[in-house]
Amino acid sequence: MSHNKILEIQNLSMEFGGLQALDSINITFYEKEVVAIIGPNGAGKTTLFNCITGVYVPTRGNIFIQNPYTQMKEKINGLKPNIITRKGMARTFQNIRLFKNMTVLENVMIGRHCHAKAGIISAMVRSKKTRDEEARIIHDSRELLKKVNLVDEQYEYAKNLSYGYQKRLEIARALATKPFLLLLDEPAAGMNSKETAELMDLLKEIKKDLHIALLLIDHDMHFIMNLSEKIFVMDYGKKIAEGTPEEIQKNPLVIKAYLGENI
Amino acid sequence: MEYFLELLLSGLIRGSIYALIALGYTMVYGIIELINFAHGEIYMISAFIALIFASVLNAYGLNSLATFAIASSLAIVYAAAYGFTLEKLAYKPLRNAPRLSPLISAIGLSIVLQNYVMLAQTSSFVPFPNLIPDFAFLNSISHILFPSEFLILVITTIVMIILTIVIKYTKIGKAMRAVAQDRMMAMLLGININYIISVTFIIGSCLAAIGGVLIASHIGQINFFIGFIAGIKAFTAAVLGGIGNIPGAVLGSIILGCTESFATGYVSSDYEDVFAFAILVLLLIFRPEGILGKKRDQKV
Repeated sequence: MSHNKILEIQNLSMEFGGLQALDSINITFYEKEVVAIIGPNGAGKTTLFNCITGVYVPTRGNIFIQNPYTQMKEKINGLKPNIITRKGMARTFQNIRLFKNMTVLENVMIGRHCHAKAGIISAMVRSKKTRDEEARIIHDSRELLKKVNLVDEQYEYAKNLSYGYQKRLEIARALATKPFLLLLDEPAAGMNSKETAELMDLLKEIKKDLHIALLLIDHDMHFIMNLSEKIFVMDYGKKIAEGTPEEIQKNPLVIKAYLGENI
Repeated sequence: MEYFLELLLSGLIRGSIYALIALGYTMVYGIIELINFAHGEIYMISAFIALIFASVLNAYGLNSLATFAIASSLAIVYAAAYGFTLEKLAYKPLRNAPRLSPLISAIGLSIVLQNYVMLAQTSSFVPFPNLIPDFAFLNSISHILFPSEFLILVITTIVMIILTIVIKYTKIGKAMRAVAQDRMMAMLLGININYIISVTFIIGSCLAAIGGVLIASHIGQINFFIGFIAGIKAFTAAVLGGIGNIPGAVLGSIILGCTESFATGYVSSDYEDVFAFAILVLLLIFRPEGILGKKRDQKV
């Protein structure tokens, strides 16, 4: 199986005033990989996510994505988040950001809408094209809900779901945008061990069935070591190590970053 | 009893017009948290546009109902263009500015538009032609319900139903609700925020234009200042119902309209505003988030 590059980060730096949140980061991601980024709090992990998804415009450096289907390579820094999403990148946040006053199904449908073609005029007159498209969107959204096991809750309001269900719904909504790279910011945070195990199975299944790459941030080492094929370690805005889970566990720099100097 | 029903009916009619304008305030507030003070001027301008087109079409000898339909359609198109342009000119450049800046911009815009119409048209009242024919089926109740009032109730109801369907079931409506709840997340799901904001302004302006044309043909005269008064009343109604909440705006408008109507009927027409704003003050004391508004969580 050939492994194509899908995301290339070159010399990426991000400064907030005098604070160097990211310092010349170079990272390359390949198709269908599960990669984790770990590091102490404040290391710049979420900032990196924000730069990749267009929430922040990086101070220096470049981010390229290469669509695995068309092999088209393009620079994405400076583009708006909605454009980047349409190019095949989706993310979830540390805290849950569902549309709480909408139903579960509507939440997923919104993710799918960015690929819908029908414009406002045909939507208002409800042409056949619009109705067909709408039916397809509902069908696709239900399929995604089946995948995350939420199909029975599809007409519930998102705010009425339990925490673990809300996390799963966020993943389904992100998948609805048809990404080839899914960024998950602390998906296991606040979950008990049973929920974490279920999430791990779900992510493995998503990777297997949908052939997408996953990029995770998390502090749960058991979760990370079990799931990821490659790990990047960040500290103070710099990438300090990369490698397989086994290599990372033995890396003295990583141990120092996590446990401090004098151990 | 008949007097009471008459007042209730007139309250509903007032309320319908307020609702058409209040929806624009509340939708824009829901999406970008801005009180669009220039919204009332859109309503006023559309009445003038309808008047201009109606005069031209009248001169060509078109029958009055066709004139009314064409003139109001054109007024709606014009209002939509105004709403779209105003947002791009006055609010979009200030999207990331402190919240006070777009508010000042809105007030400035309102003054500019009023004075522009005053200079371009006239400062005195101009008569608006009576274009609505006497519907034959209304003859038996014509002493309590004028044809124009009948039209206001019917058109408002239809517009509300269409709006509900658009917001609830269409792609654009879902996107609007999503943007109102979490703008950044909506963007990260591929929604084009600028497009949604423009559509919101366009829909709001169309509704205001419908209100403007209807009230102008009901009252029979317009001037450059009607937008200010109607705007303030509709804004009050939107706050009454809970600003940002669409059914709330309609409910608030009906309550405000009926209050004014009963105050006029049972007390004196001099007191209609006193009662309207007394209700607002009481509500703001006891339920600051409005009738249907949600309590805001304090952000930590």
